[in-house]
Amino acid sequence: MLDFVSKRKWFFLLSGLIIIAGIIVLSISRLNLGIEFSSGTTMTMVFESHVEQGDLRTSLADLGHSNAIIQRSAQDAFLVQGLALSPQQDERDQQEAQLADNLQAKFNTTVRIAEFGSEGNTTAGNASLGNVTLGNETLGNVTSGNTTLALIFGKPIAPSDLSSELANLGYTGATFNQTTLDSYLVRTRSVSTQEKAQIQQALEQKFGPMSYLDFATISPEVSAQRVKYNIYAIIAAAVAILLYMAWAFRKLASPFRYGTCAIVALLHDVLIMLAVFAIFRIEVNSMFIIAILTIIGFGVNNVIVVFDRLRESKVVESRFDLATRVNMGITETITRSINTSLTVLFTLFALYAFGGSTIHNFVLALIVGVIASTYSSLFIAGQLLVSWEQGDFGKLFSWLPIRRQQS
Amino acid sequence: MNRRNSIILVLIIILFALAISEVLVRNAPSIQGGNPGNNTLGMRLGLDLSGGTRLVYEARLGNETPTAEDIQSAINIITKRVDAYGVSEATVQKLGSDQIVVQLPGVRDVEAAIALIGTTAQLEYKEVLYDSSGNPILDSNGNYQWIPATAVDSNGKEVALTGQYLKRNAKVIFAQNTNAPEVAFEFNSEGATLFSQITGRLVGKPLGIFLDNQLISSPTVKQQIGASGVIENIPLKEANNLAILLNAGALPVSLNGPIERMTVDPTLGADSIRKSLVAGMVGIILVIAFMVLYYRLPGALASVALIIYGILMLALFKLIPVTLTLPGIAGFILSIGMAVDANVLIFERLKEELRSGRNLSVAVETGFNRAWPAIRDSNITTIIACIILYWIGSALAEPRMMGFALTLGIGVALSMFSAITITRTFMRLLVGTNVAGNLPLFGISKSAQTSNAKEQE
Repeated sequence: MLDFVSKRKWFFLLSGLIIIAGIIVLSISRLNLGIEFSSGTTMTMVFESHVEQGDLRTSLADLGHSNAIIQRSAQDAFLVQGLALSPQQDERDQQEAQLADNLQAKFNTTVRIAEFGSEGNTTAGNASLGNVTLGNETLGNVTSGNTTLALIFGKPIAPSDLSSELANLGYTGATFNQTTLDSYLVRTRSVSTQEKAQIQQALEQKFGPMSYLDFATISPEVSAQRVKYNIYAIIAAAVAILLYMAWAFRKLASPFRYGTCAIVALLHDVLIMLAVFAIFRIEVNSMFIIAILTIIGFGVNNVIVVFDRLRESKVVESRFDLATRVNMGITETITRSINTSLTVLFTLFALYAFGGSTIHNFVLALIVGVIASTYSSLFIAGQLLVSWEQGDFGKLFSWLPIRRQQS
Repeated sequence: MNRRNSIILVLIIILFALAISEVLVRNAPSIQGGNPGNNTLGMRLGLDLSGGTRLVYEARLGNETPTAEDIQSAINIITKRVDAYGVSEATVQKLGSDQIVVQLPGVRDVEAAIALIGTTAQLEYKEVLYDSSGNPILDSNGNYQWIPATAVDSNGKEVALTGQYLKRNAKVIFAQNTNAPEVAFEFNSEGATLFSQITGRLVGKPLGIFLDNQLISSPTVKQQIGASGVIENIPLKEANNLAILLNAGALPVSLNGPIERMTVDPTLGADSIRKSLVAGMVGIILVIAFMVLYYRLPGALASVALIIYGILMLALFKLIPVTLTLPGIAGFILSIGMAVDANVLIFERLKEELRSGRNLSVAVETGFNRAWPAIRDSNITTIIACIILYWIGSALAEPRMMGFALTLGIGVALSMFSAITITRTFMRLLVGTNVAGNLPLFGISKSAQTSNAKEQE
């Protein structure tokens, strides 16, 4: 039988160190919260002509966004001219959507279309119906002749392939050239729909045609509400698990200890996840909360499987003390714990490798959580039960000048 | 072969066949904006997979708090507007006490949708204010001063003529001589009484038609008219939208926002589906390879159970139906990993029993029975976490959370059925066949078995 219990202080120390490192990082730089929790706007802008990051920063500061975080990236794109497109924005949007869908079906990758150069297609709110503008342009104000479309593919596409595919789709007379577009991811305070149009107008005056590839915004009220509900959810999950475990282990002495130790082990897992995300400055969003609640569900699985052996061996082998029974329980279940974690990790690695970048951080959180919860179910939860029974925590504080009552 | 087990086996096969036909044959209502290729297997897709926009508005009523009825009526009106605009499968829901969330799958022209949803659409008819000598009074900018056009209704009260008296049948027509688009509207009987009084009074004078305090048309009244009229000089697209707004009615509240706005590009959603399918396949193959290599024959049987489980899950998703989201797919793939857990627990117990020298029949029953409390308790706690996740997901109208909680929760519940019923039936069917005594097939070497058996004695 392996001895997992007597070296418990080393296990506690290891976890403690990781968590303390996380807390130090958290207190210095705080979590990298996504706009869902911190409110604000993220937008991706692409420019037809080259734009220096410093110039963009200055312009945004002039527009009242001096705290904007700006990240530059280059997008490989094809600039297409001479496509027969409708002069009306809504019809043109449909045509572009159709084009994107067709190209996607052909090339099996994402196709984003940005529209450049249509005078007036960006001035919202000034159409003939006053603020009843129902599109964002005035009829007849846009001609298709000077519309340039930027096609941005999710993977490299050969110009000859694009050329033949455009011809297949019946776009004759279109000319295109391959280029690299300046793309900026901007994160700033909440931007309203009107302000979005104003920013575009102001930037186009300075830098020439610009287009938004992405635009997401969340107001402070909405994000505060989200934070509140997510905290409720985590507390509710912890309380529900504590109560259920107290009930499931009701036949043992002090059943609440089992639930409490399970909750401490889960807290450990969540803190490790937070620590990793804090240390590597990975963005924390709703998906991270989903990951936390999943790991709470998964981690409690692991702990229950170990505790289940105590429940069983309590009846069968009560001549052993708790430390021995915890050791036996862990020894008996370690194969299962590792195998189950491995199968879950296999699926997670598959998701990480093939599932696309949208869920990378989510899957990463789950991977960290699965590893942490496997560790805590083997090296923390049962050991905590033993420490509790043997009064380790009291001893830990025995140097304090508080007189403990002799029992 | 035991009779009861054979019956269960036949039932499992029938269930499996039904599930396959459900997944492959029956087509759920199509959801897509644009690309039918996105609609994998006829599943209902969330915004992150179909692409589209999510908008949240705050309802305001001056300084007062809007009542639940106000919000509900606003939701009905917005629903009519987006339906008339041609968005299929749009959802409009209440969020918290005074917010409204609108989800528009497939919509790419977000600005137009925002303008359509956020407009209060209060239509008013106004007349020009004249001085005592009959000349229009102008303001400092030289513009007319408009005052609400009023008339006496059937109760003898003087009321203003507004959009509330319109029949909901406004439509876009084209003028006969110029072919220019116009919006034709028609009043109900009360409105017709008011309108004829007003036009009778205003012959030769302008009548102002205002939408949300903006003048959209000011024709000069040529003669007294009764029930109907047209709004001229509107570009086609605005005319279409105006007809939609007039027919859906004015919002009882003003909408502040959107205070939240998220858009997913539809081609990104399709890409996510493709990648998730690959990830799911690779995940299943890795898990099956592991199970077969480590647990041998029982592992192979569990893998068959796993495939049945996967198909049953997909069938349930379509039947319920579950709105599939990216986290939902991740939850499903994760549940495959976790579904194996029940089998792993059972097989570890089974091995213990076989090593201690019991025969397969006894070992199978003891293994399942001993593993059950741990499987039950661990799955119930996971389901508790899923219920809570679903609850906050619905409170936040957040389909990603709800989708994940639902798929993982259903997955865990179904995995208990798969491990207990399907795998156990397979194992019981092995009892009494000639593989039963072949311990290496169960991952136990002969020597380990005898030595353990001796230890036991």
